[in-house]
Amino acid sequence: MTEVSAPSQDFVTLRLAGQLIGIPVLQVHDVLKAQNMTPVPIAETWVAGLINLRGRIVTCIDLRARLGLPQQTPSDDSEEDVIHRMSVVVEQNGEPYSLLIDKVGDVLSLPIDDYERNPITLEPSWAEVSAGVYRLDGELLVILDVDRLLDFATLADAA
Amino acid sequence: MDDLLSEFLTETNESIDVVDVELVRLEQNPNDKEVLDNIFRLVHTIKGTCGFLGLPRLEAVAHSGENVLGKFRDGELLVTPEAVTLILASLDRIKELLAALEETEAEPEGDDADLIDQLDACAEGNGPAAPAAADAVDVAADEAVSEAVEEDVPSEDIPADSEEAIDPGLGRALKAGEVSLDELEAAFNAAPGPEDEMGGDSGSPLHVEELSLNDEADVDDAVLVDVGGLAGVSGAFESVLESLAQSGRYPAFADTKVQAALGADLGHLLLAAMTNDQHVVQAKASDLQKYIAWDTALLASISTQLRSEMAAFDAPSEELDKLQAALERQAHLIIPAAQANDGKDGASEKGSGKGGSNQTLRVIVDLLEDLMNLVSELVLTRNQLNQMVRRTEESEFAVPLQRLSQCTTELQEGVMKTRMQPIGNAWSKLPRIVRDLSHELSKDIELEMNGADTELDRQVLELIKDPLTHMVRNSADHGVEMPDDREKAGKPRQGKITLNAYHEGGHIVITIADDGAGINADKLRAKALENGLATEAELDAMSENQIQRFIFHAGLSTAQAVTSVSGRGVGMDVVRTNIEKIGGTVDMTSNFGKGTTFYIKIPLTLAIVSALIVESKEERFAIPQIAVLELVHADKTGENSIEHINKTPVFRLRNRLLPLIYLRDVLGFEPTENNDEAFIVVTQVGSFVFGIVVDQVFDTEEIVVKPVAPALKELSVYSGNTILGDGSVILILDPNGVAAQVSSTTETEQEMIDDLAAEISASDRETMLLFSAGNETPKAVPLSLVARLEDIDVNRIEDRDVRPTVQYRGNLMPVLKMNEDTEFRKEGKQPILVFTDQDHTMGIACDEILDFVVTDLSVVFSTQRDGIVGYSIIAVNVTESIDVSYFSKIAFKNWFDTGRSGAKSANGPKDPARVLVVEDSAFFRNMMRPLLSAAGYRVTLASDAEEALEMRERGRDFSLIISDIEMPGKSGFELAEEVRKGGRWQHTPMIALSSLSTARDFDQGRKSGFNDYVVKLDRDALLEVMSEQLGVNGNKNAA
Repeated sequence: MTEVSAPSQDFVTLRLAGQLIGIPVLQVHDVLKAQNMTPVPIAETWVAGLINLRGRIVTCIDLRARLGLPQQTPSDDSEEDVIHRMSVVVEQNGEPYSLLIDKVGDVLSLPIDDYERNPITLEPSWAEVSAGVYRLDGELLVILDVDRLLDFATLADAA
Repeated sequence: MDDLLSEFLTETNESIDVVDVELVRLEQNPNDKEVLDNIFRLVHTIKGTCGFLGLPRLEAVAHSGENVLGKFRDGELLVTPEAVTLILASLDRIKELLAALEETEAEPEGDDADLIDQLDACAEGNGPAAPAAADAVDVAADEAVSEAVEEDVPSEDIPADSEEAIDPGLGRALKAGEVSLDELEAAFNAAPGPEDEMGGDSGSPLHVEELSLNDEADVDDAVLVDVGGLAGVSGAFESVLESLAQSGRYPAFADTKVQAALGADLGHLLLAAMTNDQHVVQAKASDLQKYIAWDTALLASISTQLRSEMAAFDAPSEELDKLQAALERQAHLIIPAAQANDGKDGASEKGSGKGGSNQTLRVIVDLLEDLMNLVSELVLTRNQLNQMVRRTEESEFAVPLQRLSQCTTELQEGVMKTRMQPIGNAWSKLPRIVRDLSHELSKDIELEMNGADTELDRQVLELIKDPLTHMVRNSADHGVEMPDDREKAGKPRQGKITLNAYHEGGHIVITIADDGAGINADKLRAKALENGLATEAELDAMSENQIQRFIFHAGLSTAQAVTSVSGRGVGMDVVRTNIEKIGGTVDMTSNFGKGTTFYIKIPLTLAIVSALIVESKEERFAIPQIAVLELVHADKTGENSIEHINKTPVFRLRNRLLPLIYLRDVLGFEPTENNDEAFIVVTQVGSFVFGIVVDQVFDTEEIVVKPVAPALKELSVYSGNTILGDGSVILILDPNGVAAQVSSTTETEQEMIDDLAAEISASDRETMLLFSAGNETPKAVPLSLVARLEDIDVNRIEDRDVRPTVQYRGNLMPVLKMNEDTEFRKEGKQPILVFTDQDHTMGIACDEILDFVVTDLSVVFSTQRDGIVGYSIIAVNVTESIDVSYFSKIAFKNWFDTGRSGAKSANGPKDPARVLVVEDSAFFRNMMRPLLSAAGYRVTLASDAEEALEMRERGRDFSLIISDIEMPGKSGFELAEEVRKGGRWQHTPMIALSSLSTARDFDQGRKSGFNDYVVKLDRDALLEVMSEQLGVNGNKNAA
């Protein structure tokens, strides 16, 4: 993270199971609507499938499953502007991944002063992929550490 | 890096590789002039280029090497292994220098005096080479020179002996001539001479040249001085080149260095022509042929121009006349050299890259890779467009698209072709490796390579290079035995490793065969057991070949101890992994004592493959066409339906049972209710053929294989993914992975079945009685076991529910039900199969007698079910072969409780003792089968010792072997000795069966390894001895 050198940083905000999550804006390559996915049988449950993004094959990661959250149920759709199964495309070592989320929000520019480390009591499944927290008005924004999220080597070890 | 330098590195490395190979050839055929010339030319070129680029160390080494080669060529030195080793050493040094050069772009510091001294000593005839022969040839060579020089330079006398012996005046002339040659070369190459490293032995004529090279004043050659000295000659040559370039006969190069190098070559050529050095003339002419199309007119114009140029340097015109005349006289050498070279390249297909008149161009590999990727994308897009256009009825795009499609295909083929390289490129280092190894190990090994021009994709080539090298090294190191051992084994002292490459249906097959010791399966077996790779029971069930395949197993190959035991295996698992990584397979057969052959099958290319698109549960998948043997449509019912053996699906494919794998099971889909129809993709992985059941089959499509994301790498079922014409993403199935997913032992089982089937069809034609009982599956029993078929009134069967019995021929006969489903008839006659064994008789109730069939039990699935030996196909029906011994055991244990036959008590009902009967007389053989079968043994027959030993090779196991003594070929005694020597039957009890019954025979029988001896026709004695032997040895040997 470059939070030390920059007075403020830009994040794409997402919502996942009610939680506000941010990804550094420079890491986001695309924001996609629901796509036709090719499922990958016998893969890990958090592998949602494969999509064709302008000729590239992109692996879709179900972020809810990845973070151990329950699958979206109709009751979660209370908010009107929810667009189901949107995704943001990020890259890890040149390999594109699409993260399936509930909803994409605004891009926020956040002052570095509002940044805090993960509270030590944070659940391990979240702490593992969280790069810290921003205090917003009335809400907390969890910063997603994309590299660690997509580091499948350690993931396999952990599993 | 400097372009010129990097080009030099590539070219020189290539040349050195060629020289490596050619030297080994030369060593084998020291008289092959062509080979020698080729080597000489290559080394000479290396030397020349080094000088040109200012690489003194390289040049010095190459120069000394060339010197020795020159002596070979002139016949002054004999081609000895020692001398060749020395030259190879100098090549290695050059390689080292080149490697350093590549890294640092400068020659490393250091000194090669040691090597150069050795080379020079060798050239002098000291050390390894044989000097005696030199003189005689010397004279001949010099005579040839002298004649030529006489013509050219009549004013001079000719030396008749080597230089040291010439009188000053004469010697001077010749020496000076040579000097000027080198001088010129130096001048053209503009390189510092390597003389610093050369210090010490002024006796060498070369050294003299080099020394004088430094000293301009020394140049007093009559011809050259007269025509204007060095400066004049080289100046003249350059002018000639220039005007050639202007006339369009000779390409003008922007790079002056290249221009200068070519000028040097031309200079050499002309000079050699003047001094009548025919070798050089020819060599240079064919070198230059790439750039200059030689013909008479051209030569004439060159010589005229040369003359006029030289005249400008105040050369006396009579000397110039001589020069011109000399050049014209050599014309026949220059032009035919070019033509001959053309013809040679065309005819002999050496693939050396010397492309005759073919224009070649060096291209950076990355560029090709990029091109390939682009073409792949283009193919994908083309497919997409095609699909879109196909959907619309009439499209204006159809025609242009067709054209685009065609161009794309051609482009794809073209780009693929640029990536194709002869497999010989991967082999080029092998002769050297084998040669070095054979010297190192003091073995004598010949390497034969066939099909080196078989082409395959660069990428594939790179990937198999190392495994191939490793395997050949292994063959030489561990496969081929020491010469003495070979002689003892009755083989020629020289071992042989044969490499073969050929195309086979979209694949390249490479075989590596040696005629060495083969793999000792016994030792490997012990090791596999020790390492816990397989249990004893599993190993027992394996054929020798299957056990030998353990060398591909990681656990076995890494352990050092195994290497010393098995003689093979270091890294064989790595070899296998590497080959499988590129979608290839590797297999081997080894004959202990006779040699080992490895088979590698690899795809031609990796990038674009043809794939079959299939569907399972509404998801589409691609299966590489390469693995698909055929497609079969299975109906829901009827002839072509999928049958089940206790939930295991099988399909009858041309009277063979094909094991099936449901794709939906592999992929963990929910099982669907009875599919109406299914398609079976008959797939082959290695030697394992199986069917993948899918719901739907679409067409085949050219797909570009893209690797799966790292997140999916662990899934062996998928080999990649791709984008189809309609834009959707599809996963590519890996047949290897699919097969592995289902069972890791499928291959073994399949082979066992194959073995068994082959065996049975060879020897076990038998009349079977088919009947039905209980369920619908027909049952079969060998007719020879059935004593009678009886229809017995149901009412005569007593105690029907608990212990059914019937009075039969004055005895009480137990009547058994085939299975729980079998019901006795309510009334009328009950068909019963009657089995008689000695004093005991039993009956098995059945529903109906169906048929008698003479059959070879083509396929058998063994089973764990009680009372069933296995499943066979008899008269196109899946049939259960019943196990009579099981029933007799029940019958007699329950009813008489006699420990009747030792065979049964020792081996249990499910596994009757297997007995091998070796007997040459057909009459006795046929008598033995029912006799022993009735006693509860499973009998295999062999008509002679050879056939029996073949079974051993194939890995069959028996609990007991009964052998006749007098047989054609090997006698029973010899068989016993052979068996006891080693192998899997070493501890199997053997009983001799003979009409010879003297004490001496008994004695000899024991000595040769029989455990007991029975006189023929004594049935009870035989049975008794058999159970005795099995009682003693049976438990420990029962398979």
